[in-house]
Amino acid sequence: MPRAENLLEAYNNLYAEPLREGQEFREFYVERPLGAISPMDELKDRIEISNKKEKYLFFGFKGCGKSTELNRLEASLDRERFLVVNYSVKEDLNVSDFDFRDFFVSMALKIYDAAKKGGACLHPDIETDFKEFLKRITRIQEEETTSQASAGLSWSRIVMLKLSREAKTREYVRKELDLKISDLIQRLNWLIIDSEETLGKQIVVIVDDLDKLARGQQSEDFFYKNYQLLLQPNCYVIYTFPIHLAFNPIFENVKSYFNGFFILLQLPVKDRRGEIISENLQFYREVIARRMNIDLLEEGTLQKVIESTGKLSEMVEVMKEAALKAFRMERERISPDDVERSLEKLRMIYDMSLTEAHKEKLIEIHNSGEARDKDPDSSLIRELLFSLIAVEYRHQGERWCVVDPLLLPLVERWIRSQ
Amino acid sequence: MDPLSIEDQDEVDLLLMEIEISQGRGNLVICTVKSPSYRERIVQLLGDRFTTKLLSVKEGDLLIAALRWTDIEGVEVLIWELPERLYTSLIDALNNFRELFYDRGIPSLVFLTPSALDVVIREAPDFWRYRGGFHELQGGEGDWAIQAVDTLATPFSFKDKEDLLRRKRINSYLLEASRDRKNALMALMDLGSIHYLLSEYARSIGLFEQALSIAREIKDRRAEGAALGNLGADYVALGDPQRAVEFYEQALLISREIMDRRAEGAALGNLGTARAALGDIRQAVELYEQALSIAREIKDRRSEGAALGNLGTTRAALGEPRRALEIFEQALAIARDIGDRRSVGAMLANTGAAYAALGEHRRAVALFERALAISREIGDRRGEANALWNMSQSLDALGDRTRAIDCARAALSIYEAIESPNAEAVRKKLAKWRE
Repeated sequence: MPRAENLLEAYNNLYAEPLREGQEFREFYVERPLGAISPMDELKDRIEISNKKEKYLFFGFKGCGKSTELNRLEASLDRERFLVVNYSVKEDLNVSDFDFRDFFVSMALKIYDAAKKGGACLHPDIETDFKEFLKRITRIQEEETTSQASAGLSWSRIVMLKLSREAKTREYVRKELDLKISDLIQRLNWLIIDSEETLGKQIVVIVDDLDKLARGQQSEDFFYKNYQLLLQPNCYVIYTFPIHLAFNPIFENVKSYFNGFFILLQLPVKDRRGEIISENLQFYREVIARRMNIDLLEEGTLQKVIESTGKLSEMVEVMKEAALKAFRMERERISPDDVERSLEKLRMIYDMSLTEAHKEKLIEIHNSGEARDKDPDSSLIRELLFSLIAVEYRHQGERWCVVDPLLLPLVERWIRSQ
Repeated sequence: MDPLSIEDQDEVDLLLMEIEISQGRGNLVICTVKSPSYRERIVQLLGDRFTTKLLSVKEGDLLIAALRWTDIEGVEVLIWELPERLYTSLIDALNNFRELFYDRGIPSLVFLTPSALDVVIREAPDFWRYRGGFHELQGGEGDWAIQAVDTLATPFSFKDKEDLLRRKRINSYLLEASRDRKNALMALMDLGSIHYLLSEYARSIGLFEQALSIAREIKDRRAEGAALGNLGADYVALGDPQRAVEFYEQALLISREIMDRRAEGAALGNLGTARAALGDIRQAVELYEQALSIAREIKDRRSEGAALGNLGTTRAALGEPRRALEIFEQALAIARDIGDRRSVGAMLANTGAAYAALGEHRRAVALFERALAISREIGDRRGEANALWNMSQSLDALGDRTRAIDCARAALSIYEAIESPNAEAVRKKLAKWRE
């Protein structure tokens, strides 16, 4: 993935997925500016120093680089000391029908797989007991696992697939675990203890994409009703936390049970008074410059895309689409107009999908710089924050909320039409 | 033949007097007894005083035919033995042909079980109202082993004894393999519970004591409370409820200090069991009710089932088997629903004991057999001995003393092995049967 020297290469280098591989990090990763340092260094120190199996919450707005930072954390931990189990709940579970019981099954299977892959020779009773328990709660028949295993699927993969694809299996599992969740967690802990002992390593679990649970109520139930369970695995666990839940008063109570919470900030391009923050602007410039030759951009294009998005993943996506438009027009450089057309297309989508109540709330946020619902039961603000239509920034001790910069022209239009 | 119960002396005198003054009249006298063998004793007493004719009827047609055609030449009293459970045809015959008793011109004494009497009152009201005297005999009551369900502070589900033994191997291995004190504590707690469930109380105490020591050393108050509570359960099983009370009270204090409602409910319920074992049934009821209320508040079905089942045991202890049955039924439904086989076994045995107290010994034996099978399957030696002991008493009540002695001996052997306080009662009964 060398830096793009033409629009076709630029189109392919501009992807918003998290960085994973060592080469990707070397070529594309940009250190955050001083003052907005990634909390990952502290998180790494905590894991290396603590003699307790700590549990952490890690949050930040979608698209601000959390997964990339978590992948960096994984890469930075000493492989001789730690077995890192880094996975996304999106990959193995049905995030639109998600439940804490499914989650613990997936966590146990992930740890089991990682331990086996890492060479752990588990005690036969622990392994048999774990498998039998899972077979019991999922009601998977012996012949089912045998036939699918012959197709090359591992036992744990078969269980995961059934859990993610079959509503009936999820129903069984949830009913069974309603009363036996502590039995599952105990088995999970047996796996952890045995794996750690046989491998001589400590297990660190990174659970990514919990912040992407599709339904607000699901994430509230997961983190606020079941937080005591989340503390029970006998290993280090980093839970990605949906930032919109932090705007709920229960957060203050729940966070105290975890050993730490870490925020990856969305870097604002402008401060609260609208002044450009040059070091952050430079950070965003560098993100693009690492992926493509800046000469592929006409003057003003980069500035426009940065100021009009103000969010890492959105900036990359808009630039990608603009690259495509320019390439289709057989031009060699991306112009500010290409960017504007991409932005306008997105604006139209938002304009159609937002309700009048959302629009009124966005105007209120725009005027006040604050995002707070007067009625605690109202979900308007949470919805806007969840969908990144409203964004919270922090800079030099100040905290404020703005409407997604992309939508500012729309907000001004709505105000004029009031 | 068992002697007449002292508490029945007056009632039997009254019964004999009623038969005496009813001579030459078709009076109907109803008498409830709790066991066929005790009924035989009463029949023998009657035979010493009167010329009797004994009729055992199970079906309505046979009752009507017997009432119409039995030769009563020289007979002073007709004695009717009804089965322990009444079927519809018999109930209908009793209700619709009651006058036939009167028509025979000599008194009829009808023996029923307390359980059958309930049915007669509800479903044969005309027969019930037609009676002359009604006598309720207390003798023949067994010394039933009613089992309270303890709530271990660290519950877990298991399928059978094999499953339990595998858990034992896993925890023994983890105890050795792990250098972490917290892991050792978890393994010790689990091992203590496993030995408790296998009725190996002395071993269980040793493990919970080690766990308690580590919990205090690492200042884990929750685990400290759990170890104390579980120690209490061991001492109740060993017949030292006073010592158990001390442990449970400490566990209760800790649960309140750390605001753990589940642990609080468990400590209250278990304290109730210890109080009941000390004979303080009224306080036990209060404690069980508090435990039940907490279990429902926190939606803990396992503890709810245990509290209900235990409230049933207090009803049984207060001599209210009918009320006990209703409660055991609710507890049994919960235990089945949550797949708690140990509680299912205990509740089946308790239900059997309640039916036996109502004179339904055949039904009781069937329930004891099911409880026995579950206890053996899950390795619950105490439950196995309780089922055998109860079964022996019902078999004896049904007149099968040989099998009764076999079952009692098997129960005694287990009670002695697990150092249960119930061993003494079994020894006494066996000695009495040998007299």
